[in-house]
Amino acid sequence: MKTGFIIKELRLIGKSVENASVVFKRGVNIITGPSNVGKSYIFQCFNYMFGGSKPPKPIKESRNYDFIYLELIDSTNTTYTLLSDLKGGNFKLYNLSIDKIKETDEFEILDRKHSPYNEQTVSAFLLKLNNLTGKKIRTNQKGKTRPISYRDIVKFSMVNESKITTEESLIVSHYTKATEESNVLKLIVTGNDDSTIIESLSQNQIANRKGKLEILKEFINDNTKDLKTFKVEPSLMLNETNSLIEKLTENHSNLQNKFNEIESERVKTLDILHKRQSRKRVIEELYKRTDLLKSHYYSDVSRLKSTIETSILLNEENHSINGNCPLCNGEIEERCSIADINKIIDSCSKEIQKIESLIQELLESEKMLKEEFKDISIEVSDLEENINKYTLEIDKGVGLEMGLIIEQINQQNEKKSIALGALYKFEQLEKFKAEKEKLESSIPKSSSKETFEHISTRSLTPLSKAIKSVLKGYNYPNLTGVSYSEEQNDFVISGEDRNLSGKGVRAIIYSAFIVALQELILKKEYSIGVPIIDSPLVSYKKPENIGAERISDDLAMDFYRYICNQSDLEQIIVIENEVPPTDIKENINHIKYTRENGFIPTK
Amino acid sequence: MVRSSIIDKGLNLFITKNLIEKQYNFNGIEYKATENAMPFLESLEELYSIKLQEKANWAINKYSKHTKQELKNIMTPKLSEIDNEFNIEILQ
Repeated sequence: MKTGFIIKELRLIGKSVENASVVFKRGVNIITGPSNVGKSYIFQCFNYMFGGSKPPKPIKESRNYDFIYLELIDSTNTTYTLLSDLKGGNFKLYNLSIDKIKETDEFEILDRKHSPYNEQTVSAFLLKLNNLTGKKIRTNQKGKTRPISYRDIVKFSMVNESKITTEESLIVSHYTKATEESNVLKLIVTGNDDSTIIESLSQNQIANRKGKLEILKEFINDNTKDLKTFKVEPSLMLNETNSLIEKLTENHSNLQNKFNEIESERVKTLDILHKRQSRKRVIEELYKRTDLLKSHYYSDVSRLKSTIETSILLNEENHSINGNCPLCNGEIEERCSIADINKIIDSCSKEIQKIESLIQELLESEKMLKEEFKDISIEVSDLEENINKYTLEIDKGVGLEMGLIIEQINQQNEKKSIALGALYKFEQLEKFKAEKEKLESSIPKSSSKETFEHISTRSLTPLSKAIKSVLKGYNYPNLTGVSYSEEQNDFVISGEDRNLSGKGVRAIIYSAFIVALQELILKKEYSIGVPIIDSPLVSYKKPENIGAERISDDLAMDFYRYICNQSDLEQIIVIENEVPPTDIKENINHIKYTRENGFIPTK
Repeated sequence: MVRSSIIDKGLNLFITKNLIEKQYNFNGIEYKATENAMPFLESLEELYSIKLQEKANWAINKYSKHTKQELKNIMTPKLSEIDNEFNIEILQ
């Protein structure tokens, strides 16, 4: 058993009443007994515990019971117990067997009502045990889907005594549910759910997408036109410009170095020039000063000469000696003697000589200054010439070259940005094209209905074959073939529609359908729950069923023999009036009820 | 003040040589050329002496009518000009 579960025990508990319990085993379980011993009640309990909304009919024997337990064992041998009241309330789920549950044990609350968005439902729990979580089925022709519920599944594993003889389709209970019910069967038979189906689009949506498509097409046309002007692949162009820019930049930096050299030379020269110019100004100033000094010297000499002359004259003149004081007429002592005057004359002569030598010196230094001035003037003009040369080289030589290179770099950069833009456009174009394709494929080609995977005679062939094999196992008389009629949504046995068969045959075919489904999915990765068949041999040995409606004793017994000996089902529960043949009693779990000793113990 | 004794000595020399005379009057002490002074000055031939006389005449003509205060007002700004001419800062 890869997935799924088996039923271990069903138990009713109430105050001041004995527990009602039925224990099941792996393999074939057959509950037999006359009417009114609780057989159908058991079936109703199962249905209720598998999420049915209706509680089992409150027959008078059951009125004192309050709770219903169902113990399950899953494929990993984990035990679960579902507990519910008998009033349609929610479930408690325990990870324990019924006997081990104490009041303090932890449990999960599971909602009885299925909801696709709630994981805490009994439906979700049972789907999980059967590995059917998240499966979806299509519910209408337009492709609308919904997640399945365990209630969808249970229809194909359990059948009660009234439904088993139905003349209606085995698959479709009502025409409004035809799509979803046939898709549940498709899921069970093929394992393919409808989760990949996307609901077909409304007219508005289609119009919307068509509009989008138009715009995209326009974009694509425009872009394609724009990009036609590119003779060279933009990426190639980009590479080319990049390498050019690199080369130009290198040239530029070389020139920059040269430029810097010249500039530093120029600055150095300028510095020297400034120093020389300042020296030149100093010389000019000095020159002016020597002139001033020279005239001083000359004036000194002439003054000294005049002094000498005056002195000589004073000595020669016979001025009156009686220079008496005009006030007191007293003699003024002549303090300045002739000798003194002569001394003055001598010293003045000496002084003149000295000054004259100074003038000589002055003239010489003046000459030197003149020479220096000449030299510096030449040097200055040389320096100025050099500076002009450097400036010219910077402006017209290196500078001009650099300007040209910068211009080229700018040109290349412009080209580069164009290439980048084109690359971006190419990318956009690809994107647009992909988007366009996506949109185109999402718009339906014509207004015809979409073809979804659907059950058909052909797709249900494996199931038909399985039913045939089961019926053959039953030793069904005159069996030639089994096929699915799309028209009837039902099976055709040996060329005859099932609903045209008698009641007994309809029931046995229904049971074959349930068993065949189980056998078909035995090796698959999912399961659909324990098959529970109520009254498959409904007309067996019933005196009121006469004539064609009645199935033979052999067929009834061979049904038992088949499920016991030839079928590999993990567990099957059959509820029947009459006992199975004695030759298989060793291999089955036979639960035998009598009027005195039914499912619910009598006090 | 430094030169006053030299001027005093010079004046005295000229007094002994009878070239000038000293007069005391309500203006204070005044020195006045004698009659010998003119021939003495005229006999001087050195250019400097001649120029000196010219300058003296020019100064007398130009400034003799001014009061002392007026002279001061005229001279003070000129003094700074003279001072500037000898300022050889640029040579340092």
